[in-house]
Amino acid sequence: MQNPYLPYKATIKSVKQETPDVKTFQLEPCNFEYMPGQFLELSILGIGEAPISITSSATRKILEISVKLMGQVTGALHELEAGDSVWIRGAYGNGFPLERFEGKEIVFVGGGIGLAPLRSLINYLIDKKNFKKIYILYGARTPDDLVFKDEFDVWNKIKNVELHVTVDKGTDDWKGNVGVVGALLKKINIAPDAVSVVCGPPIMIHFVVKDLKSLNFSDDRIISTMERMMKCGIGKCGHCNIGEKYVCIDGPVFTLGDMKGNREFKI
Amino acid sequence: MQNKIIKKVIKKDKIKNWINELMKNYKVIAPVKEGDEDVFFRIIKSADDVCMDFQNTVLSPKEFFFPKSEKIFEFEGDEISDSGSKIGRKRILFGARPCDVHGLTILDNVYKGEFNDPYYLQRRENTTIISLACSEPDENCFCKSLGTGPVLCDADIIITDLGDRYFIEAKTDDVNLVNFDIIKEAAPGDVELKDIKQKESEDKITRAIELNKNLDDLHLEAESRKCLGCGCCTYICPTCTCFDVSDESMISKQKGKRFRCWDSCMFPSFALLAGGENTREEKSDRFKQRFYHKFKYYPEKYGKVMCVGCGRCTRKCPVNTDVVKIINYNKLDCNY
Ligand SMILES: Cc1cc2nc3c(=O)[nH]c(=O)nc-3n(C[C@H](O)[C@H](O)[C@H](O)COP(=O)(O)OP(=O)(O)OC[C@H]3O[C@@H](n4cnc5c(N)ncnc54)[C@H](O)[C@@H]3O)c2cc1C
Ligand code: SF4
Ligand code: SF4
Ligand code: FES
Repeated sequence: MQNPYLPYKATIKSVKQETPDVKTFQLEPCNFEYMPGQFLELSILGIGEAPISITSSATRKILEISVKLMGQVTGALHELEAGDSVWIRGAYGNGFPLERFEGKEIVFVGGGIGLAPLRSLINYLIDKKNFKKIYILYGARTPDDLVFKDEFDVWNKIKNVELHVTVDKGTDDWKGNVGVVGALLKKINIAPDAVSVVCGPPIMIHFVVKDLKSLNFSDDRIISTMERMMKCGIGKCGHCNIGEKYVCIDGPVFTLGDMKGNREFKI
Repeated sequence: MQNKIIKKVIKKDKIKNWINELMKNYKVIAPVKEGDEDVFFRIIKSADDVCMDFQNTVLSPKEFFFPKSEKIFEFEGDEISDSGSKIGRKRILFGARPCDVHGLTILDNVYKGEFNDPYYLQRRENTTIISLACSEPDENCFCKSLGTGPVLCDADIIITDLGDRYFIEAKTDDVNLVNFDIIKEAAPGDVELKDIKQKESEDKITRAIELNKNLDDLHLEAESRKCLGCGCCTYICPTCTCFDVSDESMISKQKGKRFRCWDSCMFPSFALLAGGENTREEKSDRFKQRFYHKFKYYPEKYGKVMCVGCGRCTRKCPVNTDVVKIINYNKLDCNY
C-alpha cells in the first residue's frame, strides 16, 4: 500500500533572502506535480513538518517556496543552504479554481508573506495568457518586509498587468504609497465581473473583504486561502478542521460563499 | 459464493480450547482482567488469561488499529526507512463488544478515502473480528439508538452467551475458524434461545440518544464551564481519530524518528498556530467542537454519527459530562 506519510528528498538549489525573516528556496525534487494554490508538507528530519504554499508556477518547471521564520521547522529551514536537502510530500489541497479566471479581470490583494501563494497563480495566468487584466495590490509593514521585490519590475512590464505597492510605515527613502492595502482598491478601475483573490494575515483579510463588499464583489467572486493548524495534510489528523471543512483537502482555497454559514468561520 | 451465515454452538468450558486452536495460527487479542475489575484488551500469551465476564473494557480495542503512539519512519543521516507499515502475523480480535466493532467501521471512513492510511488499514485487513454480544449492558450504554445494539454488528463472527454454551454465527469465509470438534452444529432450539437472549439484552438498554437534533450553542457553553479540558472523553472514545505528529532525534540530529500519537480537540494547543494565534481560543470553542464534529460534521459527510453509544465518556468524565443529556437537551424542558 502506498504510504502518503513518507516524504521524499529534495535538494535546495538556491536560497534568496527576501526580507529579514523571509527566504525563498528553490527546490529540486523528482517529478513533483502541482497547481497554483496547492501546498506541500516540508520536513526537516528530526525537527518536524510544516505546510508551505508553493509560490512558483509549474509552467516554469521549477519548484519554489517562500518561508517566514516562525518556529521550529521554519527556523531550521532558514539555517540551510544551497546543496542541503529537505524532505517534501504533496502537492496537497484543492488549488485555485482556474476556470474562474479565464478571460477575466483579476484583482490580487496580498499582505506580507501572503503574496507567496498568489504569486504562483499570477505567474501561471501570465504564462497561459488567458486573462483580461491582472491587478496586483500588495502591502507589507515596511519597505523591508516586501517580498519578491525583484519581480515587481517584471510584472510592471507585462501588458495588462498592473502592480500597486503600499507599506504601513514608510522609511526616509520610500517614495511609494503608505497606508493599508485595501486603500489601493481606490486606485484601480475594476470591471463589474472581476474576480478577487485575497491572501494575508487574518486582520488584513477582514478589512479587504469589507472593502471588496463595498465595491459590490459578490461572495463567490471573493476567493481566499485559509490557514489552520495542520499536521497530516491529507484529511486524517483532524487539526485543520474548520466547521465541516478540512482546510487541507477541501481547501486551502475557498470563496467567501463557501465559508458563509460555517460556524467556525469568522471574518 | 454467497457469504452465508453458519450457526454453531460451543460449550463454555471448551472456549479455552477454541482460543488455543486459534492461537496456533493467529496472534490473538482478547479481554484480560487487570486488578480487581478492570478489563483491557491484550495480546494474549495463554488462553487462561482471557476474561469472558465483563461489561465492557476500559479502553476500546481501537488502540490495536490506531495505537496511542506509533512510529511513521526512522531516519539516519540523509535516508529514511518506512518502519511503520509492515504487515505482521494475522490477528484475531476476540471478544470485542458490538459497539466497539461498530467504532472501527466509523474509523474506516476517516482512514480510507482519497488518501489511505496504510498503518491503520493494513492492521484492519489483517485482523478477523470475533465479537462477544452483550448480555448485561451497562446503564450508560445507548448503542441501540445508533443503529447497532448489544448483538448486531459488522464482526466476522459473533458469539452470544446462552447460559452453559455460546452461540456462534460465522460468515462462510471464516468457516475454518469454527471447524473444530469442540464446536457443534446449532440445534433449532439454540437459534430460538439466542433470539430470546438477544431480545432480553436489547430490552435492558434504556438510554437512547436523539438523532438529527440541532445543537444548542448556549447550552453547550453552559456545560463547557465545568469541563476540565482533560481530554479523557476523547482518549477513551472508540471513534475519535485525531492525532499529532512529532519528530524525535538524537542530539546529533543524525538519527531519529517521526511518530504520531493520539491528540485531543479538547486541548488548547490543538489549534494553536505559530505566532500565537489560537483558532479555538476558548474552552467552550473546544467543547463545542467535540459535539459538532461527532453529531453534525461527520454525519453530514458519512451519513451516520461519530458515536457508537458505548457510554465510556459519560462513565469516565470526572465532572459527569453526559453525552446523551447534552444531545437530547431541549430548551423547552429547562428553565435557565
Ligand atoms: C495551507 C498553508 C500554507 C502556508 N503557506 C506558507 C508559506 O507559503 N510560507 C510561510 O512562511 N508559511 C506558510 N504557512 C504557515 C506555516 O505553515 C507555519 O508558519 C509553520 O507551520 C510554522 O511551523 P514551525 O515549525 O516553524 O513553528 P512551530 O511554532 O514550531 O509549530 C509547530 C508545528 O505546528 C504546526 N503549525 C504551526 N503554525 C501553523 C500554521 N500557521 N499553519 C499550519 N500549521 C501550523 C506545524 O505542523 C508546525 O510544524 C502556511 C500554512 C498553511 C496552513
Ligand atoms: S472527560 Fe469531561 S472534563 Fe475531561 S475533557 Fe471530556 S468533558 Fe471535559
Ligand atoms: S462519544 Fe462517548 S459514548 Fe460515543 S462512542 Fe465516544 S466514548 Fe462512546
Ligand atoms: S491537516 Fe490533518 S486533517 Fe487536515
